[in-house]
Amino acid sequence: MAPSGSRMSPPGLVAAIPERDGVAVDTRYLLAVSRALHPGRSWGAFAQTIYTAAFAFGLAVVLFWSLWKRVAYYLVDVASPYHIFWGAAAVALILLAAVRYSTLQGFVTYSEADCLFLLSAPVPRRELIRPRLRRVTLALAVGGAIIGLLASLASGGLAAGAGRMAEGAVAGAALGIIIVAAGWHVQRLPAALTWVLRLTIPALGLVALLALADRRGGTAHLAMLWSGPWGWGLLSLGSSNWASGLAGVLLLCALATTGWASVRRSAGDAAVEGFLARAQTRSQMVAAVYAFDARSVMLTTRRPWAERWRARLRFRPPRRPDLAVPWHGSLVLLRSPLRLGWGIVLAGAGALLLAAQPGRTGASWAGAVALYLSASSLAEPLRLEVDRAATSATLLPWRFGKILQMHCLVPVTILLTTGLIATMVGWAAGFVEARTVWALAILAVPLVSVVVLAAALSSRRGGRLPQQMLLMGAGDSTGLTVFVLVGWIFGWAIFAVAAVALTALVLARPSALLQAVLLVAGLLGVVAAMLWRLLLGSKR
Amino acid sequence: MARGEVLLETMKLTRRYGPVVALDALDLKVRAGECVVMMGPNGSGKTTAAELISGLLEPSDGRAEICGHSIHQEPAAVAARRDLAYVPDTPYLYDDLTVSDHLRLVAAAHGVGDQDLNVRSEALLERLDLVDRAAFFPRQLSRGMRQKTAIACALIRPFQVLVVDEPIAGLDAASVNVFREVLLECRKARRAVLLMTHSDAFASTVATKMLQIQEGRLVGS
Repeated sequence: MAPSGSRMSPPGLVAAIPERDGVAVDTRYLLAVSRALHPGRSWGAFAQTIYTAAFAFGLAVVLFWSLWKRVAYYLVDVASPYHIFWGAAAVALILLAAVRYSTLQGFVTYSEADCLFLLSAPVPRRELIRPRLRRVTLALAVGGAIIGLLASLASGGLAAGAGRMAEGAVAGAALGIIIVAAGWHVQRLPAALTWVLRLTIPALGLVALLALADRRGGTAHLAMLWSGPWGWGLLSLGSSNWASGLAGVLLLCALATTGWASVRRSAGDAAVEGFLARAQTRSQMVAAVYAFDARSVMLTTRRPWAERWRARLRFRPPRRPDLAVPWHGSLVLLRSPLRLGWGIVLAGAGALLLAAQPGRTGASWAGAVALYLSASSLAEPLRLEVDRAATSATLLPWRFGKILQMHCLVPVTILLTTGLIATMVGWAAGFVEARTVWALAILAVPLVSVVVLAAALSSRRGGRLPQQMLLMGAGDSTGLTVFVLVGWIFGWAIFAVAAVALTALVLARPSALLQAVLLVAGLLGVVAAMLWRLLLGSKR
Repeated sequence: MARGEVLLETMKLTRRYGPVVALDALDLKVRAGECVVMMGPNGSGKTTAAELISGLLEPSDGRAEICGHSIHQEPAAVAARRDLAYVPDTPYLYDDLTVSDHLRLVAAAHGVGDQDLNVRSEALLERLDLVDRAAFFPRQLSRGMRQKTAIACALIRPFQVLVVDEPIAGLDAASVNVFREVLLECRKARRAVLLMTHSDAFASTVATKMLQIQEGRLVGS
């Protein structure tokens, strides 16, 4: 029914003000009109989306079957009754992912146009937002209940009994509601959002501790289960004591009820600004995804204003012109302390894994991946240079390739210093043999150069897939494009990891070490020189 | 409406982005029948001021009131939104709604009756030269046409205060003239208008008061 209260106005350009003070706008009528105007997607389109998603998932499982089996084995050990490995850590990780997602998007989103037309309508905002919150809460509660039910079946089978299955379902539903409540408050409160961003890394550390406690068993396991909502739902799965299981579920229900009440109360308190910023981020991200531009997708997740305080951090540029670009790179990294810290931690861990266990394949591969990730993380100033290639053309006197080369100096220095310090510490602590230390001292410069240059060569391409590759994919009926695609994306990473793995092979040799080390160092030096030259040839 | 009644008022309205103060303690009053033009260079805080006053941004400090109601505090904001029409510098439109669908949605959101909607949308589409484009989607429209759609959306419903940010960017000469008529008609109808623009020439033909803003502060009138 159309609202009354407005009278006919002459067809001028400015509408007449209604006679009585204010016009009663019915929110339900507004939402009905909005729904009628946006008919939504057809069932056919929806079915096509489901089919595409299922097909892509199936393809991924087939491609990565062995990896999948291993991950699944560690996550849920179905064969072991009453025990779910990493259960609390997995729940904590899901909670963390939900609040982290809410810093970027959240469970209630609106388009830019919605912000201007719908949220700016003269109706109480809570009446517009509450129905969406209700829908998403219901969806997550039902999803959580199903997962909870399946988890209780997986841990105890049908022998677990109806009571335990009901506990699992209720715990899952409560967790779903808690996730929505936590996400909503992060979405609407700027302070909560800031704290989530700050505490993500420490929270990941806590998740690791939970995983460790879970595997240890005994008192540590029990303390972990009682330590928070991540463990409460698992109390019924983790022990045969029905009372503690029930207590855990009751605790979860109490928290979910409080959470839902606070969500209902605060539904109208969300500012349009947050919805608008998320809508703008989303539209940029969608555009980047459609352009197959991974770099732009990453850039849309950044908040430039949140980093403005770092502008105050500065230090004097060097007198030598050659050091201007490394100075720029150092400044960028110092203003991103999290990135720098992450790069250093990965470099140290990678070097230690490589030096401590060169004979163990898993450890040396993990070390190689960590070293490459560190180099890639520290190559951010180079990526920024590639993003704004035209800037250096107007500001700097060197050719583009030379500038990219200069951007490699800081990551090489950081990786070398951190890696050697970590190896020395490992030697002092007795983890690393003395012969490995001096072997690494010889190999360090060429090895680190190869890793950093490979990361630089990967980064210099930007994030966008070449058009030829997309065209090739469109006309390919053999399916081989997938391999070309994987090669294009991970090619340089695989190259760097292989170089480190080769080094690990040499370090693992008990005899004739010096000759082998010198040979590999020479080989890596030649490869590094070739990569250095390749980088010099980079074009804007 | 009493003569000279303040319809739009900001008190120490401030917006900070980290250490950057985009708008610094803006005190502003726009009365019925006034068209206040705010001018300033790029990055001076015009759009921030417009978005704060329209409720799209939250202030770091201070307040903005439309006809005595705070635009940032529910439930008073409901009344403020009823009396405020806003045309942003970027026309945010729904991709899946035609021009006339947009008008229908805004009419529904502001309680404009069906009969009034038909009469007013016909008149607006004709004056803004959008009749032929009424069934077009935004992606089928030029930047100027989208801007005119946003203007039509603001004008289709009753309002006391009109806030317009760079309205003539992308408009042809005929449309600029129509928009000038809109603003003059607003003045005649005792509405309050706040206009942000770069164009001196346009501003001087519609303004009752011109303000200069620089680095987030009003520096003169």
